[in-house]
Amino acid sequence: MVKRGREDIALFLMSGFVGIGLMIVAVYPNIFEFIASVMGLELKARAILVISNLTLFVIVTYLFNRISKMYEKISELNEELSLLRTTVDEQRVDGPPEQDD
Amino acid sequence: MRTVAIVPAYNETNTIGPVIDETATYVDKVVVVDDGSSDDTAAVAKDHGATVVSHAINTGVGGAVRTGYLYAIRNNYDFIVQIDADGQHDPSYIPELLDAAEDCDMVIGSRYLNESYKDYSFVRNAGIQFFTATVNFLGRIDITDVTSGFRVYRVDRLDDILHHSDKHWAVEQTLGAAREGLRTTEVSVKMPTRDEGESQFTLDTFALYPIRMADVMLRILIFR
Repeated sequence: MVKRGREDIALFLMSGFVGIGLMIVAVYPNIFEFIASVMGLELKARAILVISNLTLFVIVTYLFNRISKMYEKISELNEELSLLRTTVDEQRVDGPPEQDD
Repeated sequence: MRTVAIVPAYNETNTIGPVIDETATYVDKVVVVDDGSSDDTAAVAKDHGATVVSHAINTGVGGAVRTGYLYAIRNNYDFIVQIDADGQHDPSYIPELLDAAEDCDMVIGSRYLNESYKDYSFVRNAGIQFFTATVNFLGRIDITDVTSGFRVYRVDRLDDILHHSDKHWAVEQTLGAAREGLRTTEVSVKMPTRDEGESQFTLDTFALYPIRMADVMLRILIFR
């Protein structure tokens, strides 16, 4: 549960970061001119492209990582389920285990 | 010494029966791991006396192999023989592999210690040799056939090298074994080309190789 909470927090923070970024750009549309000058870029449009590409890269990397972890969990569940089914079937054939009196 | 044969299988109705019958003469138990087959592989395997572990969904040969390893570990076997369900691996080599395993932790049946590989396609040969050269370089070992699925493992060392990847499990397993210092040897095993089913080496596999190989290398070299 703690781990799941951490993933939800990470998603919340990422969404919040992107949302705050969009609000700042909406309130201060010339901020990209400042960013362009800091990055040494001539055009505001290029600064917008760089920032948006970086943001997308971070989000896509994070999502790929989550997909990969989910796939591993599905594989593990698949394996454990199949082994459990086999154990139950074998016990059904062999009968219940003997108990000491 | 209790020995179990693990046979990962996916849609191998035509070949699984004879593989089980021949393998059963050399081991204590044959376990077929059915990786979500859509045909009668599981039913045929049961009819031939194998224990069948059936995956609910198909996850790839690596997942089926891992399930087989877990079965061997949890049921306290001493050795595990891994053999393909498509009839490519001749079970009569099992005694030779088990003999070699007495002094080793992992024995690989190699196609490159004889002339079996000469009938393979260019793509398949190139893929196998590239994987092998990479693992030899990274693991500082000298193996001729890193992708061979015809293997024997000492079960008590298997926990140290359980792999995670599904597509290139053999590469991860062998690299992991090298890093853990497992005693590894090879035995020359003749393997004819497949008459039935599909090879795992296609142009798709080759094209996706850099990404998957990077994943395997990161898992072994950095995250273990």
